[in-house]
Amino acid sequence: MAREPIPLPRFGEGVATAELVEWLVEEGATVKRGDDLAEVQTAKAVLTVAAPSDGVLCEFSAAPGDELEVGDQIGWLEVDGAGSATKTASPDAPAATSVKPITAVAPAPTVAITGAGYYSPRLRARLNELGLSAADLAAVPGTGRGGRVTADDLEQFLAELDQLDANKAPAMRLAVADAMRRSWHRPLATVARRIELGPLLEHRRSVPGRPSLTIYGAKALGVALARDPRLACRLVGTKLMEPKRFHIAIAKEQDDGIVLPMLRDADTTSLGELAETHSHALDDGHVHSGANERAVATVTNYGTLKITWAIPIPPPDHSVILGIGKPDLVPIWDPTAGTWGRGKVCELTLTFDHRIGDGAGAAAVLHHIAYQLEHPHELD
Amino acid sequence: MQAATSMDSTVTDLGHELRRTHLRAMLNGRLLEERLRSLYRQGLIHGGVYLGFGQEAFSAAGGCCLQKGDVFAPLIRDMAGRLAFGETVEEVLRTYLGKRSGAMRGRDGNIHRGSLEQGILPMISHLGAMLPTAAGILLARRLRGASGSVGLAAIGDGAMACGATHEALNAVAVHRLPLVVMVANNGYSYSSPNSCAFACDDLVQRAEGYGIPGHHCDATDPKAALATMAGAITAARETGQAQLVVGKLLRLCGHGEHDDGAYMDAAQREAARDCLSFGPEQAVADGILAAGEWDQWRQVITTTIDTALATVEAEPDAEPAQEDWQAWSESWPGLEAAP
Amino acid sequence: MSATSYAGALRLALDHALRDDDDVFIYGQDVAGSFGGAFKITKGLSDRYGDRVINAPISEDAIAGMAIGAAMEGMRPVIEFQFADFATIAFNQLVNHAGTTYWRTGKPCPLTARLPVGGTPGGGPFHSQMAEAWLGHHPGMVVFAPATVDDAYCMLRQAIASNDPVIFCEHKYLYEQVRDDSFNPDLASALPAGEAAIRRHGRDCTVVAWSAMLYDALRAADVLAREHGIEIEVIDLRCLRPLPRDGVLGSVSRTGRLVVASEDFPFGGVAAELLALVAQHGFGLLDAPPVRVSSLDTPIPFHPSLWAAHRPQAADIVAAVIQTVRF
Repeated sequence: MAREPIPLPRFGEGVATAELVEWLVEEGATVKRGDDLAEVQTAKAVLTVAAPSDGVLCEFSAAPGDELEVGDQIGWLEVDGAGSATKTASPDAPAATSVKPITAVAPAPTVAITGAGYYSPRLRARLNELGLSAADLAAVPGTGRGGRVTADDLEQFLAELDQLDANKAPAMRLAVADAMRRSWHRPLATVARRIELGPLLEHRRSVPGRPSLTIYGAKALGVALARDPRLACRLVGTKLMEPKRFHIAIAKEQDDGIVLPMLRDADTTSLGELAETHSHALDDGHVHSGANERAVATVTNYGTLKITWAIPIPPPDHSVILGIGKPDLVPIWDPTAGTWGRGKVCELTLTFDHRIGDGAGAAAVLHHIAYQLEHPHELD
Repeated sequence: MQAATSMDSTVTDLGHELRRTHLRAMLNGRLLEERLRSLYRQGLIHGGVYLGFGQEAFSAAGGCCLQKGDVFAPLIRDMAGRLAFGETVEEVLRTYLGKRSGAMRGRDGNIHRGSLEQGILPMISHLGAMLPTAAGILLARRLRGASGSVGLAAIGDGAMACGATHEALNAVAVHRLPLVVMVANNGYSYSSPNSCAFACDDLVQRAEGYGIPGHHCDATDPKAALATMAGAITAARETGQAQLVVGKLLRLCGHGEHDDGAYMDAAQREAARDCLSFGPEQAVADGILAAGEWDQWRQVITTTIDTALATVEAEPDAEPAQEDWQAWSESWPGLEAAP
Repeated sequence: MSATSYAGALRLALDHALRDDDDVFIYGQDVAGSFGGAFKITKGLSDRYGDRVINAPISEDAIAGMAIGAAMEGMRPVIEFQFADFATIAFNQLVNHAGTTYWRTGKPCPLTARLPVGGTPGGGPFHSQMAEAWLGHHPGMVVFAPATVDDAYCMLRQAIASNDPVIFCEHKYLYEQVRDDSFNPDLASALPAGEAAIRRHGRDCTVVAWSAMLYDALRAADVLAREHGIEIEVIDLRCLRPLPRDGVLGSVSRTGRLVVASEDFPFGGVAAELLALVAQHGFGLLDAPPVRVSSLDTPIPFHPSLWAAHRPQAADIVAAVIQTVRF
């Protein structure tokens, strides 16, 4: 024998409570499943509670006049066997845990966005409002997912900045900052090697205008790219733009920034003419080309700053930049004579957009430049 | 409830003036619609033109028997009835010509025009829907203790098949609302003949099913149409009970001016009586109308239409910049801004 | 049990509207006499207001059409559809007639259509549906969906007082489940219709809900705070048409995140409208893509366990919020 509760059933929509009007059977009565046990008054009507099983109504747990909620127990049945305390469906609102059919929730393909590089629309909108760019957030340690900078992080950073003294940055500085920021969006790689300068220093004495090492570098870069233009290309989306002419820009530092005078057709123009053009360009303050006249690569001679080695960044519209270091006097082994002599050398670096080309291609270009500079009569 | 179905209404005591008013409204409707057809063919009317040719006797009978303060829910062929109930030629033309001064201000067109002040309901295209609406006005009046007015809702054999029509006929019978439903059985629901629209012998038989009186007439006979409508409207006014009136006639044109009605039965059309021809003959024979008077009326009405047209054509058209583009009457907080 | 129920508040609102304005009347199936409507909302009213509580034949089209006529005549009819699902029969009258009347004629159409909406266990496909999307789609319609006892009373009074046709969505599950000990009709106050209410403050994510789904959102808020340390701001939309744009955008501007929880079907609903609103006018407020939680895209099942899987639950809101916050 087991005891089974008699619950107040859910009679329909909108019925949550009922009042027990009267019991229709005596306590202790033997009842059949479906027999009427009690009358209850709901907001809608007087309704009857029926026996959920065969058994003996052994105990009333509600009396006439009691206010009951759906699911409340009104009495107990003594039944044969194990009883069925859980037979009645839960009258409650939908269970908090629901199981959805798998077929209905096949995951849609989504783009995974991860890491600190993600800026939400809110953060972007705030940066735009402030005239800031993502680069300005370099100093902000993100507290969001994967180290993301959150809007709160930005506001806190701005509040801290307000505590510091600040001046308005010069226009040229801001222009360079913008160009460098755009350049830095690309994956840049660098290859480097040393060259001997003896033959070049000898050669320049014979050229009108005594071209500088920078002019030699521009010419050699132009020739090397004309032979293998792959690094001179630009990649935009799926489009690869290959140059027809090989103008070379020369990075020239000024007090407040960098200008880029251009040497047209560096690959085919003589060293003397290049030297003359370059000096005029600087005198005129002429900085860059017209719309259809753009350089394909840059030369920067940081040797003039007494720097032997650096990794320069190509301007945003160039894929490659040649860096020239400060000449040094070093011992040089003469394999023919079997003796040490001395000679001038410098370091060359070639920094390129790794989307455009790979290490081997860049090395081939740099070796070609080095060969020309070590055999300067090739440039005549 | 008793459902008296009088198949032949004979109201002998129609007043002399009522018959003249009725005839004149018929002519008003015909001449104005002929002018609309002309304007349509000149390309001057936006949207469709639907004419009531052949239906004037029945329509004008309804309009003539209404009183000021009654409610009229017309159908698309009720020009004569509208004019009889008080609509002016200018008001008609303003809507057809898309004038901002018209009742619908260019927002709705032509046959949809109406004025709640005048008691003419601006129909929506789902014509059956106008029956419960007219009934609702009558219910409101009863609740406010205002008695004496009746409603007149006009439909055709087509709208008799709509659910809303059935619901409304049943509801007005149950609630005892004085709505007269006049059914112009013009032979066609657009292109479909009666055989496609209903299977009973006569639509007036439906009245018995709803438990309301039914009336029937040959609506090409102006005297019979007027007598029948006068009887039904008077009965509604006096008993407070809904009435169903079925007028048999033939549409003497296409469904609209874009439709030549080529599908119509040629012999039936040939044999059809035009109430505008028969009406003056009948009236002269009855001594209601003097010889030559009909042509005088025609001249006067034509002049009225000419003058009204000149006035209305000079009025400004509806234009977007004059609109507030606001479908709510209230200024709700958080109202959506215009896109 | 002395607390006022949502149903009781509705009954009181009708009672007071009938008491205060002779132009108010009630028309619908089974509303009169001792029966008082399928959900007893009008019970007792015909004793007091006699001929202004009128039983209708089973004719939803005619019920709505007669209300339109009475409203054109200047009365303030309140019609009851026995279930919102049956208002489909009156769709034409509501959207083509009531919704266009003011715009076409310049005359208001002040009717209130009461629609018992939403699912209950065993309700099935034709006694469970939400009505806001298909009725609210049309210009000229106003759609209310109160969730609290105060709002049930105040918004029904506002609906009846409004000069526009109001679709008044009453959730069947709330009728007896929502009760308020402190409800007092003399003190009850509601925001103006058209404004959303903040039912819980939080800074991590905005959750917009309405009608019965408000309570799922509030249960989700408890779970999120207790188990995940996430504080959501729960917005009760209250009024779906006009949409309380400022309340939603204002909350998203504070939290940067939006989850909309709707009991309605997923396609083309108010939830989609809210996401479009925020995507178009609040893109710069967002830290994560807005998410909606709706029912499954099938008719509503009859069996309570199928129904429980079909209708969004607090757990679904919790999952959506976590997904959004962790985006």
